[in-house]
Amino acid sequence: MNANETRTFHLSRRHDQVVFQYDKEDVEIPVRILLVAPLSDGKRIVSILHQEKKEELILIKSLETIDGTNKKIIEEEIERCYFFPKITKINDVSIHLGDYYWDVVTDKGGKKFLLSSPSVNMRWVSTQRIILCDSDGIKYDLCDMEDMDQASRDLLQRII
Amino acid sequence: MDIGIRAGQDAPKKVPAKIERLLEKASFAIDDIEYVVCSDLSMQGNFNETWVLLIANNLLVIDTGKIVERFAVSDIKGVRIKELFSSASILVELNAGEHCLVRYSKARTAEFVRFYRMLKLCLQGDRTLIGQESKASSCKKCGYPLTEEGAACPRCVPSWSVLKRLIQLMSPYKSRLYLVIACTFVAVGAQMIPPYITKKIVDDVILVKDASALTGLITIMLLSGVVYLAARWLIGAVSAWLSARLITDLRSRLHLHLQKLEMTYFNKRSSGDIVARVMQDTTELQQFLIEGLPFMLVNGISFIVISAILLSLDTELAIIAFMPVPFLILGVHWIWNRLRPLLYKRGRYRGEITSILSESIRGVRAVKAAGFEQDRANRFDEYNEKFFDSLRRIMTGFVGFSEGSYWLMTVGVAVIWLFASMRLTGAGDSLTLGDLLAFVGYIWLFYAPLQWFGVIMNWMNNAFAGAERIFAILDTRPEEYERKDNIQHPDIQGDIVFKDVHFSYEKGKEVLKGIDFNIKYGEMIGLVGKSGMGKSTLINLICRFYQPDSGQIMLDGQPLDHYKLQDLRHSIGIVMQDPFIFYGSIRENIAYGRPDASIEKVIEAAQAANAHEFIVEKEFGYDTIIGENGVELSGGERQRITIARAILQDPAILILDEATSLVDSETEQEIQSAINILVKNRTTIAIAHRLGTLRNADRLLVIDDGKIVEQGTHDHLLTSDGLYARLVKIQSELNELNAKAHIA
Repeated sequence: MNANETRTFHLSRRHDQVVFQYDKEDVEIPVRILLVAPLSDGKRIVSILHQEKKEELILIKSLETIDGTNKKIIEEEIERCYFFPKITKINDVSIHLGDYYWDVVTDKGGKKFLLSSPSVNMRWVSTQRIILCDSDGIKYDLCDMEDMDQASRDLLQRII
Repeated sequence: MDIGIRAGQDAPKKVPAKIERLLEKASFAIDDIEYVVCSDLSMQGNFNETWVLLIANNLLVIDTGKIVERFAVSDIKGVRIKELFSSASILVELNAGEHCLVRYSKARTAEFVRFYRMLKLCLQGDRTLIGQESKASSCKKCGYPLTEEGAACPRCVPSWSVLKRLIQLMSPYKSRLYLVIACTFVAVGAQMIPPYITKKIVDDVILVKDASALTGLITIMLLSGVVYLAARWLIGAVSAWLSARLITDLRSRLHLHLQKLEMTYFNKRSSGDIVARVMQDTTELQQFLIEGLPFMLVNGISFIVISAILLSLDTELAIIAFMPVPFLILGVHWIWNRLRPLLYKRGRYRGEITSILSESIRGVRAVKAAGFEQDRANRFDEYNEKFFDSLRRIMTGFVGFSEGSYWLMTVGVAVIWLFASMRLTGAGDSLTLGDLLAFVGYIWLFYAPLQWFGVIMNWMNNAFAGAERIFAILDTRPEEYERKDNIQHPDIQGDIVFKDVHFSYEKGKEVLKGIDFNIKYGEMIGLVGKSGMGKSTLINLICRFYQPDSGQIMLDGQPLDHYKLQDLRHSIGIVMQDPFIFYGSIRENIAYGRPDASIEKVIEAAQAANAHEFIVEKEFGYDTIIGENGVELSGGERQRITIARAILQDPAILILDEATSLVDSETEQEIQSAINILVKNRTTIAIAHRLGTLRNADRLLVIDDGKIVEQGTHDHLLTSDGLYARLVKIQSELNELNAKAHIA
């Protein structure tokens, strides 16, 4: 079943919970909204999962085909569930005992974090994009490195 | 409903002054704060402080300097954690429905799990968790996260503390250390003699044409060479002994300490990293101690002594000689700032190449089957080229610096020749030709080590970094093997009770959510459930590989942690899904844990495990070497060896963790009859996905989502039409399909 088929659905919020309902049906199903391939496909493909049964109710192959309240709720929920700060500036990067200490500015604000085992926790998605995973498990998006300021690029050049 | 929460004396209630002012404005008394926790995310999901306070029976949320939420605790019906990606939120249930109280990133998981537990119990009228401070998770000095909660910050620990610990490790070998230091002084002294003798020969023999003192001077020069040689030889030999001894001691301590660490340590780290600590870091430290440290000692002392000699020979020339020194040191500092990151990159690329190569070889079958040979080659080449590039840049930097610093030294010497010659050709100067030649001799001794000073400093940094990592392991708290209240010489029977046990591997993600059951001595219990529901976790807790977060586990009426760890583990035998066979003979593998067992006992155990026949068919029988690089055994053979091991061990409690899941049905039958012997009169806990193997269990415990949802015999549970009955039905249908496919 995907959103391109004829069976339509309706999303709503009950406080913190997103609720799914097929049109012309009364049953409200608490669901989770998940991105299928957030790194390679961004926010395009979305899966709506039954919260308890963990069964997929709908696979939306392109979020662009959805509009109105459904799209708004999906986008809000993605924003809430996926905490993925994007690094916009690098203040400092240093190496100590093989661990990397980062002091960065992200689109969510400034942050200092520790990254261990770089071979595991620095993941190259493309030549211009790296996903960093810090010691607490938070993932950071280091992309568009060429658009950063010179000081940030110099610091990066030393590390990667 | 007033649940009567009162302020606890030790509650974590420190808030910044601005929060205190805000509370006072809202007519709250600071003394009424009972619990404080701070999130690193705002409600909008930005990095920002959000404070949550339990104060005067109210929950307050303070975000961006304002009280944004306020609930009476009595209005809260329930609380839960909602796990998100890299973050989570605490939801409270109110009359109107669930409401998000606060968001936090994973960095604050430990604090908020504590808060959640505290609040949950508070809602039930239990305030035992109020007052539990969390340890610092970031360094107070630099603000960076700590590698372990409550640990020292590696960035802020001074390097000399490592040196101090290394010296402490050498304290059993003090006499040798003093010998090295004494020989260092002797070597430096002997090294200073030849240039001085040169001066004497030129000034007192050649220029005055008087050879009477020549023999004596040459003899002294030769003797000083011999003394220098002897001293350097002793330094080298004793340093090598000392460092080898130190590293051997360290490796032994490391290995032993690692054996005793809690399982949680190994969960967070790859085995490759740990092996690297023990082998690579200790090797690098040893190399530095053998070569780098003597170099630093000798040249450090030389530097001071030669500076004094130069100044005593001629102050003006000495000042000229010192001029290149700041440039050399700055140059070293500059080049190493650029080379150090390249060295890390090189190390990383080398690791990647090794990893890709290792994967290509291990997975050669899969690679060939998919036709991915070129793809693998491309991936290898990509990192190989990056490795080449970093290596090229490092070597170019080294060579450039090395030649550049040599040129700088040459300029220094040339300038000395210039000024000295001008003075010598002038009149009325006290400087002699001998002085000049001695000066030039000392200058090269003075400059040369500076060139390598940077190399040695970097070597020292790397070696000390390795030492820090080694000490970090040694400082990690091991399992508690013994306590004062341990039961002495227990005769463990095998009555096991779980009382409301909660457990999570990762903070905030409970795997066991309140487990209650009891097992009587001699019972065979089957644990059933879908993958990931907590079955193996129960086993891990019984073996005390981990401690429960809350609740209690009793063994024979006593808390599990009242038993010495060794006594407990010796009384438990485990037959695992993937049998552990180490490199050694079959006899040694069976007698693992009972190395004193006679061959007759080993044979008895092997016979009971239906393993004897296939063993004697091997060329060397029980002496056949198995394990990595040994003779290959089939899955069933390996399993029967581990069953024989368990039989020989004769444990009070037997755990079968999917013991037959990796073998075919025929082999399973052979193993099953061995298992039937093993379980007689022994408390047995068996996990199996093939439910048929648990048919004879005295009782089955069905686990779902971290809780026991059903209990009973196989027949009873089938009639109950619950989860177990559904699982059996699914398996039966699957077996039928497989049977039909096989016939077809």
